[in-house]
Amino acid sequence: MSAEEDAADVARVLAGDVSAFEAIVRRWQKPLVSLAYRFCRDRGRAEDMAQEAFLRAYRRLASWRHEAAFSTWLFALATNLYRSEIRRLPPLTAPLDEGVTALDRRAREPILDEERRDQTIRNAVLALPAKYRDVLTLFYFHGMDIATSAASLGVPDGTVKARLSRGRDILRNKLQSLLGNLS
Amino acid sequence: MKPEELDRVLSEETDIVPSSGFVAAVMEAVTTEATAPPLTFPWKRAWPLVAGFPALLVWLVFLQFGPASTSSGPDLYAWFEMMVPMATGWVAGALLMTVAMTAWSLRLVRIK
Repeated sequence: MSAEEDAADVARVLAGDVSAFEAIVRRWQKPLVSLAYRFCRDRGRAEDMAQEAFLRAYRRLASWRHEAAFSTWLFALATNLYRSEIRRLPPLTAPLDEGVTALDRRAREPILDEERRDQTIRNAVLALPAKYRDVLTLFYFHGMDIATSAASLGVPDGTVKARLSRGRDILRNKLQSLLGNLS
Repeated sequence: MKPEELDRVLSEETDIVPSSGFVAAVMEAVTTEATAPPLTFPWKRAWPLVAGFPALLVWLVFLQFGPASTSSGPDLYAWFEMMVPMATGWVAGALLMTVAMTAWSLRLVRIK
């Protein structure tokens, strides 16, 4: 993905060539839909959210100041939208405490297989308090890059580090009884 | 399971491939947005208010400071004093109306 291509396409769109926006959509559709999916765990809804993010990006394209990379601006815009959407209509997951209680019963049975365990951990992230859920989601989506995660969330790096540490602690404590010692 | 395994599970999640019609759907929405006429202020509906409010102000000033104000014209202060007992009800009504309209508009936004 080329920053120059982004800049050129944005310039064409701002000059009135709406069709140039298609190249931007093609370039960024997969990351934006994937990020949306991590917030909602629903493919259909993830596409709806990503579509709204692209539409909002189109409306606000002139506000990209080129000080940051286009991708940074786009992810910050999308993240902001996704967080609002999830706040407005939370994903259909049980609260973490309920989930763990339910899973405790299964834990007495044979140990969860790896795939089910991984899915349990991913779903458990969604049940975290929003400020920890958002940081963990962005941190792992951006390949564990704190600076990029901070830029997407619009908070300082230190805030991301603190929330990341606390979020992981909560996650580990909640999952400990089910999945064994995470410490 | 170690903390680094938690990192592995959460970072190795595979990306979602958008459906084949995704780009077309986005571009349709963008094109609709680009070609839609801009919203204009509804002057036709608003003109009675726009014209009436300044006229009301002029009339009140005229009543208070005009040539008839010292003689037989209506006394604005007396008029306000007469209105005060009714004001509480009007203010309460307006607040209730505001709350109802806010709740309704929020509901509409959620539905949308």
